[in-house]
Amino acid sequence: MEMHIEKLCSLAKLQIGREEKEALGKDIAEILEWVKALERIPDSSVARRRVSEELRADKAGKWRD
Amino acid sequence: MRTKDIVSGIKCGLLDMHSRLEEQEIARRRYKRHAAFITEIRSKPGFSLAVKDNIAVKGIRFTAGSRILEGYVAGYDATAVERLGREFSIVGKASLDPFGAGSGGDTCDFGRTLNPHDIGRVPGGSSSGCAVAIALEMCDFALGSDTFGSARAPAAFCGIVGFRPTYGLVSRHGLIPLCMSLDTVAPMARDVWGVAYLLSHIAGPDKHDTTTHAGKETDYRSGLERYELKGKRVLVPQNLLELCDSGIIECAEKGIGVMKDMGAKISRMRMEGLELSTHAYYLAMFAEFSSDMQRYGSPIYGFRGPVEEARGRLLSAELKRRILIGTLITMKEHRERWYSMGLKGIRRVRMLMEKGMERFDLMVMPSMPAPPWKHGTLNPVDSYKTDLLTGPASLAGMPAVSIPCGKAHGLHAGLQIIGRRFDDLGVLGAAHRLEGFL
Repeated sequence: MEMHIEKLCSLAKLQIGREEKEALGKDIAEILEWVKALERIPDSSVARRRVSEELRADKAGKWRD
Repeated sequence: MRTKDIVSGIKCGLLDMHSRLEEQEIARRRYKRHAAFITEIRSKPGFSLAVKDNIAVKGIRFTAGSRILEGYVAGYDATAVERLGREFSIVGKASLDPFGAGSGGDTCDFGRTLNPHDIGRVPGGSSSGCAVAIALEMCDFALGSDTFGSARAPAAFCGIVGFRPTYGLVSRHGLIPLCMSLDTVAPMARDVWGVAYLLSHIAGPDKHDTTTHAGKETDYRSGLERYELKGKRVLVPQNLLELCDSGIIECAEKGIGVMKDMGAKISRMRMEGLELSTHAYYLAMFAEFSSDMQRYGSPIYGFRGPVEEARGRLLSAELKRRILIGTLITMKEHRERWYSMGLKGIRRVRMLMEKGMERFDLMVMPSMPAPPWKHGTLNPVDSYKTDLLTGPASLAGMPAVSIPCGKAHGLHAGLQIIGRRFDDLGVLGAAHRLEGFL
């Protein structure tokens, strides 16, 4: 990430000190780790099928209050 | 006093405008410590209005809550401001997290905005100044903005009403973008009637914003009284509700119970994938935001000398984080993995919302998953996670409102009602029916 941070700051036109760079690098690594969860999002066909199943179950009265 | 009574009272001459102005002046002085306004404007007769400081008002300092725009003055009125006309008197440019980048509403570069009900906690963001000013009766109405919950979150935390219109119903001309594919100008008020009153003025096509369309209505107030919840099909996304704090769930269940008592048909479904809307949003927003932020540092905004130095010194840590990640994920070697994944995620969430809403009139859930947190206690990732419930409507471009629905652990909670695209009246009508009973 250190190499990245140097390059990123230059591309993003940000002049910042070493300590701040280190802190931002740590934050960025944590944020990217968090967004990785998006790899779990179901494919469109799977998602559509699941919603259809839920809608059918609702039509049958399974989920109604 | 209800917004409707204030408006009709002033119009009929029943309320003395000067005493109202004096009251507002006293309120502003008394509550200055809450830092609701970045720039105060001398009151004139008319309904008092706060405008979030990322919306242009001609001749007034226009900072977007960031020191990088400290000396910048707007050269024109935003379309929404222009449409409100002389009936409204702008009393302040309201605080926000710099460029709208925040969920807590307490990171404005010109002073920390405080929750009016507990100053140790965040007011919700990013339209924090607007919500605080309304809650403290410093103004009757406010124009905020909502990208991923920026009007609904502070509305929930401050006990007022915040509305995100259908994407394209209100012009964004004159709004500084956070993520332009999702940004909306958002009316905020003490009650639903007030929001409908503002929306009636500002909705409609605008030649300066090509995403705008004509809505189904021109007067959103008159439809409110006619709206009935009886027979309406309401969807509760159970998997999202289960992720909330227990006190918040209790408040939401009370609201859902009232809807049922009024004759709405409630269905609960698991909508797997909606919980990832925050992840998808942040990836897309980082990319759009970093690209848009490249303009700040040019002489047009008053800069002299090295751009890199000014940006490094004047941008907040959160802005730098977002710009750096946006730069990283749009680089050729990373674009496919990160940015494309974000866009794919948005398409999935949009599909889930549209498919789910095919058989329902409304969707209902809390506005925020937890009560307002203490200042400075959340790290960036935990702060992003708080957008869990406001995200799905934003990504689907659907209208959504947050109305007060009691208190969780002694702190204000909001109920969120979402509708199909351009059924803004349906959303406001349902909220209007409910607000007196929560």
